[in-house]
Amino acid sequence: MFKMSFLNLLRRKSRTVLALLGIMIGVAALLVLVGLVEGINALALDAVGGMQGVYVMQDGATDDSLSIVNLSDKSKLEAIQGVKVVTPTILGVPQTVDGKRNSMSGGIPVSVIGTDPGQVSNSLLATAMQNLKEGRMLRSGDEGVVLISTKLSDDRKKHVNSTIKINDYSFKVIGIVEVTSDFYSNVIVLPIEDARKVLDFEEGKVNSFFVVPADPANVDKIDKIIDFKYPDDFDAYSAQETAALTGDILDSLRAMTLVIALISSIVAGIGVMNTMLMSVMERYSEIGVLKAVGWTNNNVMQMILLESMFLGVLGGIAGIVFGILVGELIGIASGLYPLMTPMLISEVFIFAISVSVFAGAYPAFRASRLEPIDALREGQGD
Amino acid sequence: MVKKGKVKKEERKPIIEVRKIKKTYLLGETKVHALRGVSLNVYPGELIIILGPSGSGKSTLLHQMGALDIPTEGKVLVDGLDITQMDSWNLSMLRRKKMGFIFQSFNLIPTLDAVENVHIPLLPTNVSEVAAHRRAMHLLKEVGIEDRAHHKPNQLSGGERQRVSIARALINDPEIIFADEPTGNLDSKTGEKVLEIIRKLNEEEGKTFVIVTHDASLVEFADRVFIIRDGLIEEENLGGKNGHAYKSESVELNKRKRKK
Repeated sequence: MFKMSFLNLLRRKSRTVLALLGIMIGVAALLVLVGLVEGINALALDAVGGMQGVYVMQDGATDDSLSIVNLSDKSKLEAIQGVKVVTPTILGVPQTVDGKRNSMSGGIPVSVIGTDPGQVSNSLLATAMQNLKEGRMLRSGDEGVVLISTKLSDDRKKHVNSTIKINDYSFKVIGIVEVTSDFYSNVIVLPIEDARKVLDFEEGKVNSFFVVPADPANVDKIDKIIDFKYPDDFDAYSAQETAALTGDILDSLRAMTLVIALISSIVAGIGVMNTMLMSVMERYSEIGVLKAVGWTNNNVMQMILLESMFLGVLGGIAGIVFGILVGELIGIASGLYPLMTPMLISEVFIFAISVSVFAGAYPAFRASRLEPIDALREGQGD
Repeated sequence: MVKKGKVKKEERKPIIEVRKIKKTYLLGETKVHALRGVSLNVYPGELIIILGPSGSGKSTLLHQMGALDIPTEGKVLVDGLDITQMDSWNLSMLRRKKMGFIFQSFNLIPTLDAVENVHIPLLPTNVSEVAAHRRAMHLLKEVGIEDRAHHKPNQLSGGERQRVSIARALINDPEIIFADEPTGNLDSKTGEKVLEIIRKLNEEEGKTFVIVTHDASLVEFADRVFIIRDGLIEEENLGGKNGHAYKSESVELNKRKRKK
């Protein structure tokens, strides 16, 4: 019966191909979207996973770029017992780099992170930027100089002593750093006051603080003290909490991909159902003969469900191959690679088969309930 | 194989009993009385011919006897069991185990080759693929087209296709085979060959046949011939099988009509 079902699909090749396309696109879209969300998730975890400090933002801010705190509040944090150093951060995405528009269309845009030049190793960036490839780190008192990531150095052909123009200001590259997280792959690090100038950031304000405890074991304790002591000023996050926060944002992204998955599965399902209904209607007389020669309702149903399942298997495989290709292309174009684990791929595959079998259920039911005589009468004269 | 002795009808148990069946169906708004009270028995080993013009209800009668349809009124007993009381599963099983069908338009599956078409009835059973294939090949040999076993229906002539469908009807070793105009789509020469196969199956293997046709030349092979008109049996005559000379006014009329 396997062979028979399979051959039945080959009768109307273009119709089968169209149904397969529906499944394929649905599967690929699902794979790429979920893969992207998981990719972002993995990047975020890489970036904050080893953070040895407390990240302090404005109370109620959901994202560090939306948080604004007073620079003068730095002393409040420094006054907490057990705190070694507090580093302010200003970050943003400049409009132009070297005169070129810096937008999403060119992949992940270049971001600018300004921090205390003497405390880079005690900043948010400390865990992500440990290896200097060329030149030197920022130092206290530096001005007009920047560190760039290796990817930026490769992409823009910049070396130590090259000049890089951010918005309307020119800077000299003094060091190239290897970053351990792709989250920071396109990043320019510069002294905080230079960042303020470039991004036109309000005087006396910064985005966030990074609080480093004298004893790394005290991270959670200091996190709690800040939240407890300044509930109206700050929200403090440890590495784990930051990951959780990122997770919240990703959860809403996941919900969105679920909606898209639902829509694409309905579309694919309708394609399969239409194909199978047409195919059943064309074969009334054949199905009648099968029943006449002793096939039961269930046998007929099985045959049609098998055909739907084949559609799901073929469409699923095509969709996975197509999805992986699209994912690679997105990765090459933007630098953000969708994370497609074998688990995700097998889930998507099972999903494709389930949708197809489900969509084939009604046509299969219709076919199985055909009376042999009605089916035979339909097919008179072929 | 076993030649049936001259047992009187009354002592034999009928394989099919049709009792006063009526079949009415709706064609658009009009009620069509396809069968208006038909009774007949079919005994094992018989070759029955149901003769009648188109629209006489002969195909409808065959469908009721072959458990392909359920009469509006009356009963059809197969081996003493009333098919009007059976559910669709039991009807399928009955057809699978006891019956074979040959259709005018062959009704082969176009994607499968001849031998695969023959073993279609065995696909949902426990019979292994190998055994089914072997038996299908044997049957194709019996109907004389084993060399065409791996041809698709569209590569076969009409006569060859009908022989494939005869082999398909035989695959489950049925007791009774129903044929609806088996020669209807064939030229007279190929038709004769097909009839010869049917005759051999009946006489040498003792298969019971019920054949519906408007071709009066088939009566030579028949045990009994029923002439049906307007949903009623008009005549029952002995066929030409055992040396009887078949006689019927209406059939003579039919023959003359055909010659014109």
